[in-house]
Amino acid sequence: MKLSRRDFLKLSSLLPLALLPGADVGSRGYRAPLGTPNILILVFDALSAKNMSLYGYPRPNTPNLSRAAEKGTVFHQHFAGGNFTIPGTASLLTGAYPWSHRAFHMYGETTTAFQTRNIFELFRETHRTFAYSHNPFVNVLLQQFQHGIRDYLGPAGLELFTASLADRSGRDFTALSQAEYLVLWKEDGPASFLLSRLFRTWRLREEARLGREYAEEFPVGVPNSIISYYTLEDAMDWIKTQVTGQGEPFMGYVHLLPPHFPYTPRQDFLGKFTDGWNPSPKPESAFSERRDEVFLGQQRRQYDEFIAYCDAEFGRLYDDLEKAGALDNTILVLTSDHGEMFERGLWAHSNPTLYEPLLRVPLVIWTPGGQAGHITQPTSCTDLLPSLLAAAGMPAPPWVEGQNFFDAVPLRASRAIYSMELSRNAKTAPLAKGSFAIIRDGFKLTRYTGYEGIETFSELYDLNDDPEERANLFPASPAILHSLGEELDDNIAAADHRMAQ
Amino acid sequence: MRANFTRWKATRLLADKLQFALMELLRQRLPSRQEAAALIMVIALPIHIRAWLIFLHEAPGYILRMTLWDVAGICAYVQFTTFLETAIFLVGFLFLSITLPEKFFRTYFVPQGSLLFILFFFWLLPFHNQYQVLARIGWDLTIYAKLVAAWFGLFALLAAVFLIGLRRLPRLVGFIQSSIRRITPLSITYLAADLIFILILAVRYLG
Repeated sequence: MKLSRRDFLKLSSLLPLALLPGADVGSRGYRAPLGTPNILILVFDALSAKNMSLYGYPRPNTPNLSRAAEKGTVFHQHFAGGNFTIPGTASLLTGAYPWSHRAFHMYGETTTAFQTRNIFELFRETHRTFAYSHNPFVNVLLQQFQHGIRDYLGPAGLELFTASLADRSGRDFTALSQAEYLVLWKEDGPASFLLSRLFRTWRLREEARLGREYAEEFPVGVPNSIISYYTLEDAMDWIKTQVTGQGEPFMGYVHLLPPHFPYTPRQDFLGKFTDGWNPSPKPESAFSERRDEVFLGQQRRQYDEFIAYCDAEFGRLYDDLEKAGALDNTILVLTSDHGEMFERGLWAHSNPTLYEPLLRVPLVIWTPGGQAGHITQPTSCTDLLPSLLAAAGMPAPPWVEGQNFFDAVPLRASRAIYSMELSRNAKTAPLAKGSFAIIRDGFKLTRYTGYEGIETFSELYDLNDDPEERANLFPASPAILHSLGEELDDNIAAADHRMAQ
Repeated sequence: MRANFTRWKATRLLADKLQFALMELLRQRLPSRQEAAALIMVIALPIHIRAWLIFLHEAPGYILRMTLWDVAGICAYVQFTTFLETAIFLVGFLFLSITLPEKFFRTYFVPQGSLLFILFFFWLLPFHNQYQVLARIGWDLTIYAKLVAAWFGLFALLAAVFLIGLRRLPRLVGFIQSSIRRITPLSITYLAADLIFILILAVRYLG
């Protein structure tokens, strides 16, 4: 083909574009092929699937999510990696179980190997990665994974007020936040003799000011993590700014604290469920805190109202994104890091148990042009990372323990899924203290071991016939027990072996 | 022009006089370095012992889940705070020494400061459990305010008794001074450790 002088001049006018940074990877600056979908992961902290009308809960607390889910894929048996924020979130972000990443303490970090083995590192080259969390424990992990996060808003990003110096400084976050607790916050006597008194006075005054400012909108208190205050509205508005016009493709992780305790729904959701409904009581747990049914009923109602607030804000975000066309090329994921419980004499999630309300979390995925679907096979939070990698055309690295659920090969029903609580076990020590659950073939075996004053014991439930875990089958069904127990032991031994290497 | 110069000179003279008077006041009222150092020893000891005990109580949990460098980091922030508090108390006593009449505070700077601090230290401790107190009285802030007023009223009374007693009992002064000599090596150890931890803090925070 012969170029005329005019053609040459036209082409040469485009020459400066080639000199722009990143022009070799398209004008977007990321090495993802054109058409690679964006990814947005929304995590509502402590949201139990067992308490959502989307999953059959009797109180209609998730109407917006149910409506939106008609266009997405709903996972009906999705399990968290642990029963509180750190292990649950770390498993979500690394695709590995807590016995591998070893982030299973309050303010715990993963082992150093996982600083580069996480979702942000894997998408860093191809996507604009961004992250935000209301939850200070998640911020410990985000700070650790910061290398892979291009736009990290930082702990104080969307807070109306924070009394946390660690949030404000954002530096040396893990040690500073721990020290801050010890020096200033510790309820039964902080290490600081004088400054803690001044700090507490200042904090109470600021909290009272904020309470007055938002008294009409949030009569029972502004949503908070005890140390910092925020609204879901601000978070949703911020997400919209990140999703539209900030550079594509993106991979965003937003960890919202509601409906985590304290339950502080917006005014229009207060008293929404004064129906007096309570589920029938379940057998007392060996770890019971002796919470009575009246107390648990009250907490459950407030939690349900807080979920309704989350649902309304999610609905608003979903509608706005849909209207803006932002979902046309975005995989939207809604999930949680762990659940919440109001039964067996136990409240919330600060206990060693691994019952369904703590482990069963929602997972709904909307894919561009995707059709509505329902996945009934058990899935794990560790499956999310390999699945998103596959959707972006990338292979899963070998350390990922989950399985791609977008795969054409159906998920194996006989695949084992694990969840665990290891906060009493030293970080790198052999796994001898904690709770371990293995779910396979419709059965769930939970083993509690190494607890002071309690002998090792196990519980076995048939989740198909007894989804509420009322009838402990242990020690009946010896064949199933043996098979599940052996698989669990093998995996614990393998994890210890990997750690020792 | 000349009038301006005279005014300037007069102002300058007045400023010099004021400065001289202030320096003289500070010289008379401020304690010597030895006295200040002795009081630091008294202040540092209980503050540091308490902070260390609280830290060591939590330390096994930290060791369970963190690297030693991170544990040292937490300790560094705690020790920095105790160091800061020691300094704040010293400044407070220096301020009292300057502002109160000389014979009232300056003369007995070390024994009076020591006695006041120890008393204040134990007086403040219950306030770390104020929520338990509030819960016991049904979160009634009016009752709480009265309790606080009564608590500090008692403190003022007791402090006055001690301070008057101090002037009448030279043996008490002697006991305080000999106690300070005994605790000095321990306090110096704590303060030296503070400096090391402040260095660790600087490396962690600024590094």
